[in-house]
Amino acid sequence: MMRRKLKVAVFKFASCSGCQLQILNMEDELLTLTDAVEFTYFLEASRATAPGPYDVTFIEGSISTPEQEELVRRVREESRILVAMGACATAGGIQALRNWLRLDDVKRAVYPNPEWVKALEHSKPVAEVVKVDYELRGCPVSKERLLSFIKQVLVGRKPYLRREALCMDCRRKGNVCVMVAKGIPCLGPVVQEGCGAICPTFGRGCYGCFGPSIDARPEALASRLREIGMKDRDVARLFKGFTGWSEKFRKVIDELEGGAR
Amino acid sequence: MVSGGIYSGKFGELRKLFNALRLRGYRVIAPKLEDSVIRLKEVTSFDEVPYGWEDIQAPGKYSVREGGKHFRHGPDAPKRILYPPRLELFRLRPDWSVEYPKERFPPTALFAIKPCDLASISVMDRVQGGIGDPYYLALRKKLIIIVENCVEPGATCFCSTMGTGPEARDGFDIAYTRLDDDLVVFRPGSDLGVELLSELNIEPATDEVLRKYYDALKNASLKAKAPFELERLPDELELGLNSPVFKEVAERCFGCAGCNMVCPTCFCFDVIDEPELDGGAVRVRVWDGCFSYTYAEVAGGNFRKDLWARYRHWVLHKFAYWVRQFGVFGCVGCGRCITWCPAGIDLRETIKSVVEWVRSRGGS
Amino acid sequence: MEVVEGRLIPKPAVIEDVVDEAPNVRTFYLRMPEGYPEPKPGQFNELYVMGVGEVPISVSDVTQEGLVAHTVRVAGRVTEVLAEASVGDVIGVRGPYGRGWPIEQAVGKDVLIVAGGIGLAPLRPVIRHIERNRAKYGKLTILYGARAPRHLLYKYELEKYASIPNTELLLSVDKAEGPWEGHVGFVTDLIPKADIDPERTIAMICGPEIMMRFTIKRLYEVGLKDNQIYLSLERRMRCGVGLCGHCQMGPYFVCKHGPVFPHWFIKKYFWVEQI
Ligand SMILES: Cc1cc2nc3c(=O)[nH]c(=O)nc-3n(C[C@H](O)[C@H](O)[C@H](O)COP(=O)(O)OP(=O)(O)OC[C@H]3O[C@@H](n4cnc5c(N)ncnc54)[C@H](O)[C@@H]3O)c2cc1C
Ligand code: SF4
Ligand code: SF4
Ligand code: SF4
Ligand code: SF4
Ligand code: SF4
Ligand code: FES
Repeated sequence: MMRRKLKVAVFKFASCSGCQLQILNMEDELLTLTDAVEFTYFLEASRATAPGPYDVTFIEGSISTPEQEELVRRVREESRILVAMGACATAGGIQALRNWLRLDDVKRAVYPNPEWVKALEHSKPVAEVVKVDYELRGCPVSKERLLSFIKQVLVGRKPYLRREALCMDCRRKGNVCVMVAKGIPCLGPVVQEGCGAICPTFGRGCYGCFGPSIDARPEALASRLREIGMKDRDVARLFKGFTGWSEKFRKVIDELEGGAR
Repeated sequence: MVSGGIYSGKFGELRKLFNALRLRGYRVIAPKLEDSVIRLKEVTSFDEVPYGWEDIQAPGKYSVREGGKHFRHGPDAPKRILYPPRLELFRLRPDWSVEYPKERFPPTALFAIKPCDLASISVMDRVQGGIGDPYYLALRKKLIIIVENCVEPGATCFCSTMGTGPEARDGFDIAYTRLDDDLVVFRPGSDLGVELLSELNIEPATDEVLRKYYDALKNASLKAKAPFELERLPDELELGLNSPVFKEVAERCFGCAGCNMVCPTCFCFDVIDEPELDGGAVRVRVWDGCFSYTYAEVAGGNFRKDLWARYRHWVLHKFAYWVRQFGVFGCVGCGRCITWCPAGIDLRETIKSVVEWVRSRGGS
Repeated sequence: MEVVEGRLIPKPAVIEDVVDEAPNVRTFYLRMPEGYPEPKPGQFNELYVMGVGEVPISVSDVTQEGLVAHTVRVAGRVTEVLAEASVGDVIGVRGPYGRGWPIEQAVGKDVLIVAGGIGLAPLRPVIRHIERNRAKYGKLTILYGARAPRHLLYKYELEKYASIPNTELLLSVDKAEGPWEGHVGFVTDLIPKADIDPERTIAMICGPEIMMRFTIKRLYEVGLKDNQIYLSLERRMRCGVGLCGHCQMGPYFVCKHGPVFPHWFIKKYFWVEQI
């Protein structure tokens, strides 16, 4: 089954490195993988010369500058399987919050960083620039899912990770639903499972870092949240949290904000 | 010596019963207050059972308060213990030999569970038991059930309509009813129940106690009603397969499958095959639910791609197909899917509307 | 005590032969494990690739040497890896499962086979059975359609079907793509062209659901009744043995009550949208 060593590369774009840290944190698990996998890290993606080709490339971070756009295209050409890893790479991340503001304002007020001078209009998920084969969602991604993903690639199968609503996992785990028992707003019903329901486990609502679940119905959740007394503005803010730039959430946010105006 | 019949004693006898179970080596699983929710968990002391607490349930809402007389069940059903949410079934070694996980099956007592949950076990006996799920059977064989009848059903309860409560009919070892703070009525339901009761300080119920007992249960059963009747319900629902009601309700549904997860009888599972680095693999069984999008998905299509079709399947399976498959309803009227639905959707209303739609078209 | 759902354990089988049938379709001949019961026409097995996953695949033949054939079309995650397997590889099997075609009820009757695409695979054992027991059955009619000529299965033996005594074979393709003598259009178009005696025919249908619905309508037109029509359904399957719930179609578990059903039996549900 396990044939030759798998060449894996990890590239970092605009992000906090949290997801890479998850890989580095997997030391014990990684040791078991060393016979099968060879890792190359590009902590500063822009400096890498991308000497591929790679079997699997994990991309961390969103695409925020024209240089990054150019680079990620080259990386794509060098990669058999390209994986967008984490909320930034899959949905633009927290930095996509700026997508709802005027870029100039942001440049001046929020990020006094020269890098932004040449910034793209939007902080984009990788898939808006190149074809992405898989998405490993989350902020950060889950270790278990990452490991499972690598093992599945090793047996030569297209990885299968359930993409249903977080509620299923949350309830399997035996959490008490915070929406029902505490009236705390939670995005779980429309967010993809995979994190292990960390937030509800600690009595908080889900912030949506895994992004929309397969066939998510954020519009139904938004009406329910309003029904239990939340203001449009607050519902929109909740959806914006981590993966607001994903297509499904963006639509609901725009409707809510359109209504508020 | 206690034999069949109805007996009464003081509240303290319950504590004795609880301790007797522990002394006999049972792992006791009972209602337990945790973070303001009544869970179903292992308890080691009688004082952990939330007597004196009450839960307040409504569609999409749950809370507890101290000082109430009676509790109902929380989100956890016996299914969680007998049919766990995630179970490693086996490991295949690279040479195809099979390795089984080491499991222990401690003799288990379910203490103070509710009649609807008891009924859910008899449904599972037909489903998981009927197909011979060995994990289920191993636990079930060594299971003792002490059920607490409900004197005060909650606002989402409809066991009376489903014929599963608020009084337990059979399938228990002991059924008890708290009539007031210091008066408990006991009924044995098995030889083991008789044996356990004979160690208590109880006596045959007097006429006065009996009258009180029957009145309390009769009152309770008037409360736990749904706005529909079971007679001909499966047929009526099948006549309503094309009813627009399913589409209307599904507009509010998230498709989160939370109801499938909390339902004490839903049995569907997904099979997950995980490769191992040594070239072998593990097979894991996890709860699945018919609300999930991939549930009926196949290569090149999805038999229930629209949420309304999934919503309809859930209702029809519980109240129509299940009867044809297993000879009983798939719903025991516990109301969990109503209380614990984050959208606050009330299953009872859906059924009522579908039946009305069918009748308005002269379908029944 | 060991805990396991014994029925969910795949046992090793060796691939003895592989035949390329059509683009993305291959047939695997398996030496089955000790104790594997002889499958009946229309039954299926769960085929498992170690660590990759499991898929329900119909038995498409049982050879004289006892090898069990499965014709696999690449459709997704598991079939993609399975299709790469070669002679000598070991895969997992469990089965045979389900209720098959009504070959006993069809004794003394004419048999009409209507197949679309990969749907011929579960019907091939019926053709074999009739060929081997020719005297027991009346006329055999085979109507088979595929996307294009190169997508037809078992091309190397299709012509031989026509030479089974008292047999009519009509082929159809959606698009001819080169020289083609058969029909171009829907397989259902072949029904009025074939010589069918509605009084003594048992019809067996397998293909995409939409094709089966059209077929049933056409069969009504030539005078067949519901109790003469059988069809093989497809549903998502995770267990194959009536445990996991996924394959439900109305009150039926397709894996154990089917996959082959008499039409009258499922009619009430089969025509309901997204049942
Ligand atoms: C009774 C029966 C007989 C079949 N016979 C054949 C046959 O002879 N030849 C053939 O090529 N195909 C057959 N199929 C279809 C075949 O099972 C699917 O194409 C296959 O399961 C797709 O799996 P996958 O992992 O490649 O695809 P993915 O889409 O990646 O599927 C993932 C999982 O979903 C389930 N699944 C997906 N599609 C289907 C489906 N169509 N039916 C059931 N489960 C599905 C499987 O459990 C699979 O493991 C049959 C299906 C059934 C139900
Ligand atoms: S807490 Fe959130 S994720 Fe968990 S069940 Fe409730 S709504 Fe779903
Ligand atoms: S449904 Fe009936 S048995 Fe269950 S808790 Fe409510 S009243 Fe008691
Ligand atoms: S009915 Fe409620 S719990 Fe069930 S899927 Fe819909 S929203 Fe979720
Ligand atoms: S369908 Fe709802 S009310 Fe009925 S048993 Fe399941 S959770 Fe309880
Ligand atoms: S209602 Fe849905 S999840 Fe529950 S047993 Fe039926 S099909 Fe399975
Ligand atoms: S495939 Fe699991 S019940 Fe039919």
